[in-house]
Amino acid sequence: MSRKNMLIIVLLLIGIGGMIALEGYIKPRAHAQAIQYEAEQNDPMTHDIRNSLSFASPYMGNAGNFINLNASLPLREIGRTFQLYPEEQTAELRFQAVAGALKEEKLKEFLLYNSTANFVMIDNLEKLIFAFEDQVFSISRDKVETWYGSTESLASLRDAKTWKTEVQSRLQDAEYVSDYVEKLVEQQEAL
Amino acid sequence: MTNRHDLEIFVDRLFANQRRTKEVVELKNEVLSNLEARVTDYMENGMNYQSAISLAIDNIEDIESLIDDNQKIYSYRYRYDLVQSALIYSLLAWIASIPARILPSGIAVNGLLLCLVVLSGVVYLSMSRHLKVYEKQTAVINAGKLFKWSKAAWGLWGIFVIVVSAYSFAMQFGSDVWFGRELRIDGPYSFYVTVLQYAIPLTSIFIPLLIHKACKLTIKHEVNEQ
Repeated sequence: MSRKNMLIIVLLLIGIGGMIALEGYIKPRAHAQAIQYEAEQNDPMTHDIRNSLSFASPYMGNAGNFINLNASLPLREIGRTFQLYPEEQTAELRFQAVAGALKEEKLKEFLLYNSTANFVMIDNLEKLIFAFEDQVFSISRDKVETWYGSTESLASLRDAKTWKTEVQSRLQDAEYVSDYVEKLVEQQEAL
Repeated sequence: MTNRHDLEIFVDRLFANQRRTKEVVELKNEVLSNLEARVTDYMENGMNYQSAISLAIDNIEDIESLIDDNQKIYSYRYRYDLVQSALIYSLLAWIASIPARILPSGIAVNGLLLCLVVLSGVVYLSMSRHLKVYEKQTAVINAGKLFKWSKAAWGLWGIFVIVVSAYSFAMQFGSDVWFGRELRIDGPYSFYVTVLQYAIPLTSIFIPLLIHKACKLTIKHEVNEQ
């Protein structure tokens, strides 16, 4: 057998080996990691706020920024539309899902985490509405500012470390989360 | 005495753009001998070395008209070697593009290269079976035209790579201009994807390489009438 034919066989074996390694091991492993990462980003407890920091904006009227910010936050897998009310500096997210179908503690964690993130990232957002098919939740900036108190201004929470200590780690305290929802979130049945 | 080295440099430059066929090598040696004889003759008639060289060089004719572009080659062996090279180059390009299968465009390019590997492999195996029978088959080809194609292929490939890279660069790094959001490379995967966008078009290098090989093989398979 000539040297070139030997080279062809060696190259063919390298190629087949490479394909098997990539398709049989590397890609399935990467896919599993991607699924795990996606699940982590959908959970307020494990979400990485660094993915949302680039959507910080002084104006709530930037619709693209608003929708991208919320697409980077938990519950991003649920389909949604949005409506902005610039006169009232209010933004409404309309989820195509039933709030009652979500686990109660996860819903509360979501309300705390996502509302805080929206007020932290958008400076002039005064009121936020999460409208599900069965229930509507409204949260206003002044109450959120009061909740986090004078020690932490909302803008200071744009730092990933501060966010983890002041917001995310507190989600482990179920009582703290329930307190936030009871005191800050106005809940009504959807029309 | 003439300085052969000076004349050799001149003749090498004169033939720099010519293929190295037997005919061209013979012509080159002939031109060199002719120049040496002329320089020696001029010097014997009292001319100094530099003037003799200058005069001899000035009298050299245009060599393009002396070289015949049509060349007789062993056509079956030539095509067989060319298909073998196509198989090796497409195998190399296929292997090089396997890591790009992480991206959808990488899967498409790698799939296309795999098809080329299969196609050239089938043709190569089929030709191998008839090599003994058609080994002595000859044909005349225009090697000069092939040489020009080889140069043009490298030029076109260079332009293709520059245009595609510039487009990728503008789309990626111009995101700050188009969308008001700066490019973020925030991890090894993101870096890998960025690099791949520039690396994938480079696999097309096997096309000019193959045309260049086709040009070189005309010399290897030239029929020696003597």
